[in-house]
Amino acid sequence: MNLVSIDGLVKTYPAGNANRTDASVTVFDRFAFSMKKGEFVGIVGPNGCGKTTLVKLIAGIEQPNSGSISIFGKSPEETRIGYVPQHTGGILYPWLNAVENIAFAMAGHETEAKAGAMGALSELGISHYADSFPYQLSGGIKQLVSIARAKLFGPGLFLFDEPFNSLDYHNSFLVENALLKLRKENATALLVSHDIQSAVLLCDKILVLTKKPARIAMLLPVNLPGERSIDMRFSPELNIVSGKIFNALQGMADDRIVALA
Amino acid sequence: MLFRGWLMTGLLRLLKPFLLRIGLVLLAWQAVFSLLLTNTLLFPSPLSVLSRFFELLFGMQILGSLLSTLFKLGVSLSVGSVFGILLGVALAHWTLLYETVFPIADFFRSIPATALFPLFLLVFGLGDVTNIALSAWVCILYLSLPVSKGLRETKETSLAIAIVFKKSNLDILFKVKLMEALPALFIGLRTVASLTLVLIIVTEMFIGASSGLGKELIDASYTYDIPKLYAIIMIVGIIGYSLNLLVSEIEKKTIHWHTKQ
Repeated sequence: MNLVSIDGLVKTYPAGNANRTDASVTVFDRFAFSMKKGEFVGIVGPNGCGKTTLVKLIAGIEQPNSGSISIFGKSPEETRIGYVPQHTGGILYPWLNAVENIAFAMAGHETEAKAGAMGALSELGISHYADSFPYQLSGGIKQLVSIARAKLFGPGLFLFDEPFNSLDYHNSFLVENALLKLRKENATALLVSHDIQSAVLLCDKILVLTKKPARIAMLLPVNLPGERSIDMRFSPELNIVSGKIFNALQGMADDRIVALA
Repeated sequence: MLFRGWLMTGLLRLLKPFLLRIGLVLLAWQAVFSLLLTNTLLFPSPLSVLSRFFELLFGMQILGSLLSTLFKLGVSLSVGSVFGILLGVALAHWTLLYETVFPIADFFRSIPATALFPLFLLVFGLGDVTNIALSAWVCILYLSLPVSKGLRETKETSLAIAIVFKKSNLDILFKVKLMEALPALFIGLRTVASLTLVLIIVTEMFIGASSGLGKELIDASYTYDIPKLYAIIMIVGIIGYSLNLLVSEIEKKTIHWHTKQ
C-alpha cells in the first residue's frame, strides 16, 4: 500500500508578492507521485524547480490549487508528519532551548512533553545539549534536535528539506549518521537534497525533477544493500548512480551558466 | 528613615561603577568655577549643587514632587505599553486596519507630542490626567507600529513549524509571533522610556501641573534658586538613566537569545 499518494497536483503562484514576478508561476501541473511505507526517497532537481514546494504541500504548509495528496488515506492536515525544515530558515525557535523546542511539538502537559523530548534527545545521543539554546549549537546539532522533534511528533513519515545545507563536513557526517539510523529503523522518508552522494547513500530510489513546471525526469532505483553505512559513500555502485543523476541535472542546467562554463 | 536608607543604597549601587568619573567631572567643574568664571549665579560651585542635591533628596523637600513624577511615569508607561501592544496585535491581524491606521499613526509620529498638549488640556482638563494621557498616547504610537511590524514579519519557517505541529491560532500568536516580535517591542520600549520621561517633565512645566519635578524645575528658575535647578536636573538625569538601565536589563534577560545570535 502506498503511504504517500499524489495525484493530479497543480500548484500555481499568482503574479505579485508570492513569487516576486509579474507573471503567475506554475510549479506543478498534474504532477503524480507515490511512495511506499519503509521507503527512503530522494528528490533532486535544478534550483527553484519546486522541491521545497513539494515538501511544503505534503506537510500541509501550503495548499494545492487542485489535485490530491493523501498520506495513509488522510489529508496532510489530518496526519502527523515529521517535518525537518531547511537549516538556513531558522530550524529551531531561538527563544527555546533544545528540550523546549522538541516539547513545543507535543500536545499535553509540559512535564510529560519535556520528558518525551529528553528521551528523543537521548536516542540521538545529544541529551547533554538539552538546556542549550540554538545560538549555542552548531548547525549539525540543530539539525539533530530538529530530527529528534520530528521523530517524536510524526514518526510515520519524515520530510527532510535540504538537511545538509550550509553544514561543514563534520556536521554533515553527524546528520547523515542520524538519517542512516532512521533508515535502519525502517522509517519512511522523503529527502530533498542538493548533495547527490548523500541522497544516493540514504535513499532506495531517487526522483530527478525537471525545471518548472516540475515533472519526473528520471526515477532511479539505488541498487545498494538495504543496510547502508558511511563507508559506502565511496563505493563504485554509489558513484555510478550519482554520475547518472549528475548527467541528468547537467542537461537541465541554465543555458546562460553552461555558456559561461 | 527606611526610605532614606533605601534611597541611599540604591543611589550608591547605581553610581558605583561611575564614581571615579563623576569625581573627575566634579573636580573639573570646581576648577572651571574657581579659575575662570565669576558669574556664580548661573554657574554655581559643585559643592553648593551637591549639598542642595542631598538636601532635596534626603531632606524630603521634594519627596512629593519626586513621587508624583514617578507615579505619572509609571502609569503612562504601563497604560501606554498595554494599549500599544494590543493595538500592535490588532494592526498585525487586520490588514485593512493596518493599511488605514499606519499612515495616520505615521503622521502623528511626525508631530512633536508637546504640540498636542493644548488639545489634550482641552480634552482632559487641568491636572495630572492630561500629562499621563499625552505620555501614554506617545507610548501607544511608538509601540504599536514596531509590534505590528514585528508580528507581520514572522519568519516563514517559524510559522511552517507551528502549522506542521498542529498548533492553535492562539499558540501561534503567543508562542511564536509575539516571541519573534519581542526584539522589535524592546526597540520601541527603549524609545518610549526616554520619550515618556521627557514628556512628563516638560508638561509638568506647563500650566496646570500641581506637582512634579518639572514644576520644581520651572519654580527654581523663576526664583533664581540655581543650585536647586542644577540639583533637580541631576535627579531627572538619574531617573532617566535608571529607567534605561532597567529596560536594558529586562531586555537582556528576556531576549538574550536575540542579542547573542
